[in-house]
Parts: sequence; structure tokens; C-alpha cells
Amino acid sequence: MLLRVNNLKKYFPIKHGFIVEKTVGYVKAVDGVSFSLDKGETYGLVGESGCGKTTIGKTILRLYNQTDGEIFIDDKDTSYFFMKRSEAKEYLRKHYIDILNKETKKKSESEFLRDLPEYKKTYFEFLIKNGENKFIDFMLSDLKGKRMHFRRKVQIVFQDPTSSLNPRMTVGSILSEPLLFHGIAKNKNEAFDIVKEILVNVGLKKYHVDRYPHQFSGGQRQRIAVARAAILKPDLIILDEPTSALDVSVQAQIIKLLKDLQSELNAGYLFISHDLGVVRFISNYVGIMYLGRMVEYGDSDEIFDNFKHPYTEALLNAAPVPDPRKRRDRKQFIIKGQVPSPINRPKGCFFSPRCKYAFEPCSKKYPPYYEVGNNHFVGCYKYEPKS
Amino acid sequence: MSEPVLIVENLKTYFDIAEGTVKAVNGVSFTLNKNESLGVVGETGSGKSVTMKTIMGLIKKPGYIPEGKILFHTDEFSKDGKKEYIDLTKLPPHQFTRIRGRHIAMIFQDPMTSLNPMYTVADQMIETIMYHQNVSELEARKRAIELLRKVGIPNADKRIDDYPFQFSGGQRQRIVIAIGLSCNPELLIADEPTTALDVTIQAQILELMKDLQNEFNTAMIYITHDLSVVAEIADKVMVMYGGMQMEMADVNTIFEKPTHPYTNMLLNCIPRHDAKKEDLEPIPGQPPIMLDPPNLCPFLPRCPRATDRCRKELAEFKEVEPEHFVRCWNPVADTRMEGDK
Repeated sequence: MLLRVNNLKKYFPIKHGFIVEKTVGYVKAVDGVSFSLDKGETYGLVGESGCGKTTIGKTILRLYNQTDGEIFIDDKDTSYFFMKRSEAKEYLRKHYIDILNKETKKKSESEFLRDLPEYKKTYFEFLIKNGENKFIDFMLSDLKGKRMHFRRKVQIVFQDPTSSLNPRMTVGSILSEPLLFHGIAKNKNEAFDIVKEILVNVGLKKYHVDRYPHQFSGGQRQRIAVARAAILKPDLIILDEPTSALDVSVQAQIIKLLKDLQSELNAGYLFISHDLGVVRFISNYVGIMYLGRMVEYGDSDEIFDNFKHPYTEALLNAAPVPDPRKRRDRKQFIIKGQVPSPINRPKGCFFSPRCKYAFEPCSKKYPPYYEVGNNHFVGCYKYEPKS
Repeated sequence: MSEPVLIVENLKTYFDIAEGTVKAVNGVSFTLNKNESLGVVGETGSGKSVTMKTIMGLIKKPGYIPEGKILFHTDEFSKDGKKEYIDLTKLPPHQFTRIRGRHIAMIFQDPMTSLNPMYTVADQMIETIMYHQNVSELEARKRAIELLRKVGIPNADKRIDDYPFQFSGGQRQRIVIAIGLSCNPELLIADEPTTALDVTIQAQILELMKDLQNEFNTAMIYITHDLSVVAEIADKVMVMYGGMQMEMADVNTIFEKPTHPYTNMLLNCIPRHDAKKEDLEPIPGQPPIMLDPPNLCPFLPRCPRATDRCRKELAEFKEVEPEHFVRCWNPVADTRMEGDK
């Protein structure tokens, strides 16, 4: 499995006070999200602004350290790579040593190992064999090299290509920088050869290497941004609204480019967008997010054709379709009000105050996920199996 | 019965800059009736916003109008019950203030930048109402509260004294709509009114605008790059490209029988969430640069159906069916291609 995200949480503290800062609360941007993604596949994260989809992307890219949860890439634990040493130690204690100590009180080591998923087994086997201190030392050894490798394997494309490309650098130097930094090319000439090759690959011309970003149109700039992400041949590319700033006709070009590139690199894509049409087209799997949690996730077609969660229903019915015959009366589907603040979230299911189907248990406890179809999960009490 | 509120004839807006002339709007004509909504679709640089700014009289130097008429009708200017039109292109700036805001109002894309952050909503609404209508401040405040209620702001009488930042994005856009409607204009121009908003909020705003249009009998122009929004709200659609109209028809015709290659290709490259599409067909190439364009079809460099004739002369904007106009020498004959019903 290329990417595994287990129970990811990211809270941003709200601080008050001038000299003595006090944390008065948390913005729970991401609150317990799990999903996984294989090579060559695309996972679409959909939601309205403030639902935490971009925070997930940035946390996986390790621009933020997570508050809780694990991120495995290529079955390797990358969660602690960018933490301070003390924090990393704490993470390893909490996620490995404490768990081992707790579990082995109840059952034997071999039983414990047997129940573990394959990707975690190696870590625990090493821990059992070598003891705590050696385990921590081993995990924290060569962090710099691990970070370098991680940065090479995980790349991002941002929404606005104008602000994500340095206006003072030529396309050639923008694209050759990662090659030289990671030692893929030995010198500038060698790097430029690779750059020219990838420029043609993303639909630009070889002579574009000497140009500056402002000399390109929006669509071309996004091609450069895609080229920069792809040039290191990463395994995982995080695409944060890569087509939102583009015109419709150009948007289709970029989507097509991304698809072609994916089959060439066999990379996994995490596609973050609020555009439901684009997500449906490009994704194999989809997660619909609301206030930091997924309300519904599963196979893309299954979700879009057979949506179950009241929020998904409202979202899909609110999104206009390019077909005037389908206009009709949408009023019944329009949800009133707006997304509540992620600081003071409603009790129980976060969507319950706006939900027209809400009944008694909804306001008490956040619902678990129920399987309602083939790889289709819904977090809603409406679908609780009747016992 | 059709009652034209606005008649635009062969309107052109050029900008003289050091490098040459930018022909942002290059011969646009249309008629808009009372209680009708026109959707103007186009990509960046297609001239859709400049057309509307020209109608609002907001074109400043180096921009100018070399040709064309904008005929606008309002009862205030009619004498003896006779219907009269005034040409907005000939109107001196100081007289334009009587039209702008009072008879033609505009809603912009970003509600944060179109409200002044330093003044309360009350200040901004009362100012507009008092400027255009001869009422006392108390009366203006009453009307403002009434309008806010109508656009769905809860506790309007208290919240009117809040500052713009205290409202959410959707609420801000509601306030901008309320200000736009405050003088009961004959024509409301909305420039991408929902682009900055989330889908569920967008649906609320579109629903609100539809309701208000029916209530006030306003003619509306929606400028957008989103064909889905147009399908949702417009009666008539005008597709623009490179400062020219490519196609104009009622909304059903545009989506079912897109005759211009550009419209046709545009509809084929929108990914949809309600239907599975195996493949997208992007339009190759880049949007045109409007600097000293040749007098040819602006879509020519990207058009797969281009003929020799296209390279020689510009096609006229011709009526191919009643109320269906197309500018093309080689229009798409058959209806929507595969994939969609």
C-alpha cells in the first residue's frame, strides 16, 4: 500500500494573551480520518471550505506535524520524520512501546504479532528483538536521509500556479533545482537535459527553459507546476485544487495531462478539490468531508451514483449540472444555514443540526461507519443495521 | 409580450495601450427583455466583464467605445407614456450617476472587496438608498432592514449595525444583493456572483436570486465561466470568445443543440458529477491574446472544423433558427455528441 493514514488528527491551538500565552481552545481541522491509497490510484477528497481537506494534504506532506495518528508511506512509518527529537521519541513510545507493553499483558508476544497487520509487524518484531532503546535509536538514526528520501517521494501541486512559481527564476532553474538538490543530475547541463525532456512531456516546448513564469498563460504555468512535481518521479503527488484557478477548456487539458502522467509514473494521487465533477472524473475512491471528518467514503462511482449520507445528498443536489432540463425545483434539497465553526462543533453528529433526517441518537454521539455497499461506508445512524 | 429593457447594438470597447489596441469587446449585440435573465458565458479574456462594465459606464481611459449603441429604457425617461430609449454611450459621466445604482445595479464576484470594511452594513445601505431616492434616513434604514430580511439575514434589525467582516461569505453576498436591489433597478448585472462561494451556499444564493427576480420583475445578466450555473439560472445564453459572440440562443437550445464548435467542445470538456464519463475532450491550445487581433474568427487557431473560408473572412453573427444566432462558417450540424442525453 502506498499511503496509509490512520486516525489522523490535526488540532490548531487558539492562543490568547500577550505576554503569557494561554491555549483557550482548539480548531479541530482534521479529527480522525483514515484512508489508504495504492500506486496508480487516485483518492479524491471533497468538501466545502473549512472541512479540513487541505490540512490533510499538508499534514501528509509533513508541512504540519499531526496532533495524533499515523501516516505510512510505502509501508514505512513517516509520522515522526519531521518532528523534534523529543517529540519523535514521545511518538515512538506512544505508538509502539506503550502498545506493546499493554498488549503483551493480555496475550503472548507471538499472539500479538499474529494479529498485527503486515506493515506494522516488522516494526514490532524489531522492537521485541532489540529492546526499547535500540529501537528508538534505530528509528531516529539518519533522519536527514529519511527526510530527503521522503521529500523526493512525495510532491505537491498547488492551486494557484502564479504564486507557487518563483517569478525571478527561469523555468529551467525552477525545474532543475530539485534534480541538483537530490543529486539526480550531476551538473546544470545534465539537469537541463532532463528538464527539456519533461517540458515536452507536459506539453510545453524545449525552448521554454529560458523563459520566466510571467511569460506563460495560466494553463501553461500549471503545466510547469505539474512538471516540477513529476520531475523527481515521486510515488505520491498531492494535488491541492490543481484546476480551480483555470478556465474550463484549460482545466480539461490539465486533468488529461495528470491522467497521462499517472499512467506513466504509476504514482498515487491525493486529489483535493471542491469540484465534484472533476473529482468524479479523476478519482478511483472518494471521501466526502464535513467539519474535519469523513461522512462517507468508498468507490467513486458508487458514492456519486448511490450516495447515502444526508450531507452528500445535499452537496450533490446543490451542485449545478450543465443540463437545463435537470433544473426543476431543487428547493427541497437546499440545506439552510452554514457550516458550524470547527471550534465549537455541534454535539453528536456534526451535521445533525442542519440535517432533515436527524432523529434522536444523532445529537448524542458521533455515529460510527456502517458498510452500505461494496466498499462504501457511511457515518450516519440512518444506516445502522437493524438487529 | 416582450418589453426590451436593454438593446445593445454592435458594441465595441477598445483599449489603446503602448503595444497596440486591445479589442476587448468587438461587436456585441443583444436584446434583453423585462424579467428575463441572460447568461453570459466565456473564459478569461473573452470580454464578458468588459461588456458589462461598458454598459455600466465604468470604462476609463485608455478604454473607449469606438462604435455601438447601448439603448436603455426606463419609465423615468419616458414622456407622455411613449416608450423612449436613451443611449448610454452618449451619456456624460455626471448624468450616468442617475442611472448607475438606481436603474442598473451590479453585483461583483468577491463580496468582501465590494463592501467597505470600515463602515457598517447600515451605513452602506442607507447611503445608497438616500442617494438615489428622496427619503429620510429613518425611512432608508427601515427599507434597508426590510431588504436584509428579504435576502434572508436573520435578526436583520440588529445585524444591520454589524461590520462586513462579522458576516460569513454567503451572508456578505446576500448583503451585496440587497444593496443592488435597494433601488428596485430595471436591470441587475451579476458578475460571477457565486464563484467565490461553496456549492451549498451557491445553491442558496442562486435560489434567492431567482426568487427576487420574480418578485421585482428585474432583467438580469449573469456573467459566469461556469456552464452549470448558466444551465441552472438563465433563460437565454450568450457564449463569448475573444470579444465576440459565438452563439446565442435560449438555454435549452444551447445545451441540446450547440451549433458553434466552441460551444460544442466546451460542453464536452466539463466533467460531471451526475454521469460517468470515460474521457474528456479538452480544447487544444490557449485562449487568444486580444492585442490587435486579425479580423477573423478568434477561435480559428483552436478550431478543428476550420475551413479555408475561416482563414479569409469573419463569419457574421447569423440567425440560423428563430432566436438562435451563430457566428461560424462551418457549424456543427448534428446535435450533442456522444455521452450525454
